[in-house]
This record gives sequence, C-alpha cells and structure tokens, in this order.
Amino acid sequence: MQLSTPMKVDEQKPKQQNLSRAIDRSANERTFLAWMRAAIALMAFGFVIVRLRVVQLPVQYRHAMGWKLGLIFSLVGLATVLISTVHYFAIRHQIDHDTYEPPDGMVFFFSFAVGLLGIGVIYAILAAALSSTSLVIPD
Amino acid sequence: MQLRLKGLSMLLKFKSTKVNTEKTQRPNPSRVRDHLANERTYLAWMRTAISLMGFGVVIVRLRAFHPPMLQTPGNGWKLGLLFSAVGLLTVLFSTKHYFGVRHDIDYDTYEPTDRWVILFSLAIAILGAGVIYYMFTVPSISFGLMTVE
Repeated sequence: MQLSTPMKVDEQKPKQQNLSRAIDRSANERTFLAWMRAAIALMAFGFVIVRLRVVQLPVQYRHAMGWKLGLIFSLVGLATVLISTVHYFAIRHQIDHDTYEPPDGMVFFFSFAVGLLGIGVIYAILAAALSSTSLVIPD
Repeated sequence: MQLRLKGLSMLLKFKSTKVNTEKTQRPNPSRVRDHLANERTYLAWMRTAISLMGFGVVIVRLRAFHPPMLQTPGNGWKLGLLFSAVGLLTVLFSTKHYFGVRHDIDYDTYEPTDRWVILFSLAIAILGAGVIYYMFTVPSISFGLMTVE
C-alpha cells in the first residue's frame, strides 16, 4: 500500500482515515461496554452482600458486617456508570477531532475506589471473624 | 488534582506517561485503538479483582452462618480473607500495569509480559485448591443447611 503512486495515495487517504475512525469508534464503544460490565459487577456484588446478609445471619450478627458495604459497592458502581458515560462521549469527540489522549485521572480514581472497597472488605471479614470468635469463646 | 496525581504516580513508581508534543504526527496509526484496548484490559483485570473480593465476602457470609450452632469459629473466614487480599493485590498490579503499558504504547516499546499471567494463575490455582479443601472438610450438616437456602 505504501508503494503506490502519490496520486493513488491521495485518493486513498481519506478513505483509510474514515476506516480507521470507524475502528476507533467501535473500540471506544467496546471500552464503554467494559466500563459498564465493571459497574454491573460492582452493583451485583453489592446486592449479593446485602442479600446474603439479610437472609442468612441471625439477629445478633447483624451489626457485624454491614449492609453499608453492599450499599457502597452499589454506589461506586452507579458512579462508574455516570462517569464512564460522560467519558464515552468525551472520547468520541476526541476521536473525531484527532485529539485523543489516554485517560489517567479516571483510572486512578476507579482503582482508588475499588482499592478502598477491598480494604473495607478485608476489614469487615476480620471484624466478623474476630467478633464471632469473641462471642463463641465465652459460650 | 493533577499535581496530586503526579505525586501519587511518583510514589507508586509508575512510569511517566507524558506525551511529547512534537510527536503529534502520530507515527502509529493504531495508537487510539491500542490505548482503548489497554483500557479494556485494565477493566477486565479490575472485574476479576471485584469478583475475587465479592467471592471472598460470599464465602465469609456463608461461613458466618455456622458459629451459633457449631460453636467453632472455623477456618472459612481465612479463605475469604485470602480471596479478598488477592483481589486487592490485583487492583494494585493492574493499575501499575495499565500505566506501564500506556507508556509503552506511546513510545512503541510494548512487549507482552508472561510474568503477571503466570503469577495470577498460580494464585487462583491456590485459591481453587483452598476451596476444594474447604468443601471436603466442612461437616455435611452445614452443607445440608447451605443447600436449603
């Protein structure tokens, strides 16, 4: 393709750019869907945490590991939906105007939020385990 | 905000992702696609991490059902803790990996790495062995109670 004459390149170039733009746009859409899947995973696990907790735990353990954790999971998922939708349209605009820059703040923010959730999960597991042992041992 | 991000990236020893402005010529025509694919890979790692943490919670939730009747704290929470810890580590490593690959794409020096994949499958295999071990060591009465739900 590079070996063709300048004339041919001239007429081929806009077409090629259009093609690449279509590929870039669909890549952007796939990325958006990946964000959505991540958000759905967060919300689903928030729901599972709350659900298991309500159904299975006897009354005296209800304070141990909270519905709060599930709520925070779901809220982070919801925020991800909103932010990534805005992000999708911003990237679409950037692709059309050839000013694409890969994101960093958003990735940092998401990792930060999920990392905090992980710390919360570990804390909750430890708290539940320790409180159940301390409740069991006196018995 | 920008400054804080820079400080954070320095703290975590991420590679600098500054794109030099004279490179706007863009020698790599698939640069946008590569970056977007990198972002998707990052998100796939994050989904895996979220699943691990969620599964850790689920194990502990199911486990927490037992103490009132069996009178023993048991080891199930340790398995859940291990799952969540692996999930948390995955968050850290995938973020680091994302910024590393982002730098490599901009400078055309991307090389696929086997290290993280091997390490990760090793970790998951250990977790799977833990789950199987746990399934065969819990008393069958608790299984009966779990299947009712």
